[in-house]
Amino acid sequence: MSFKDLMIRKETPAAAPRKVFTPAVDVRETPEALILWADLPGVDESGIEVSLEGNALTIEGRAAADAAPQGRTAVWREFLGGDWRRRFVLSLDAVNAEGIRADMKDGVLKVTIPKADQAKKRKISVTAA
Amino acid sequence: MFPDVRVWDPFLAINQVREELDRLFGDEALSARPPVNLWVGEEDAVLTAELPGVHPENVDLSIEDDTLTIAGERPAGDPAASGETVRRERFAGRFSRTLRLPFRVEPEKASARFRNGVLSVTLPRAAEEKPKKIAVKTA
Repeated sequence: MSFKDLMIRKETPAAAPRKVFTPAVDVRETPEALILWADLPGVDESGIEVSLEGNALTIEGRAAADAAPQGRTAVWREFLGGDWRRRFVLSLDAVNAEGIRADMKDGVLKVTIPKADQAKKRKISVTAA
Repeated sequence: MFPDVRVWDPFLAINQVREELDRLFGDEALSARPPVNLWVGEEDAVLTAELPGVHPENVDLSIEDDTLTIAGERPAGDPAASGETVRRERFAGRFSRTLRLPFRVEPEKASARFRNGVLSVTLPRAAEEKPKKIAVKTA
């Protein structure tokens, strides 16, 4: 995120002050792809948005409003309902942007980012100085 | 004696501050204590817990009088995915939470539901624990 983005965000009027949280993620690299898992509890398939803008991959999840179960009051709160958002920077020459896939299951988002053909073959040799 | 006066436990308070700080800095992601909310109504209590990626069959709920324990196991990622770990923030392994409810509940009438990684448990109040209306008489 650039400084300009931060400025724009700051000026956006907070019409609906929904909370936005940063999800925890795991990333693994296989010979064929990068695989990313993100915890987005409370979000179903229709609330997921995965987008690639330039080299920025953004994952967003919209959860149902943080409402109390009807007729009950909160006596203990350790988490709030809200949305999830996190952004990653991809090296575009190393991935196949067309092939990015996303699956949602039990509140966990899995994003598969296939590597570009040249990146699969690339080998980096390390030599001692 | 005032039975309703709560004893302030400084150690509990310190632990709460520590947990809140951990959560603020994102360390809660690797915690074996999934976050819970508790809601109370006249008829029942509702407990919600964030357990993304946990299968219902891997969760054990036990209730004893007014104490509820949620325990289970969260699988370590996707067993099908080989390769090397680049980043690891999500908790995997066994977890357990024990909570004291504000009243006794009827365990056999409790029901649990899992939706989008959030567990929701409805715990009906024991009959003798339901709030009673006390009529105020004039002298």
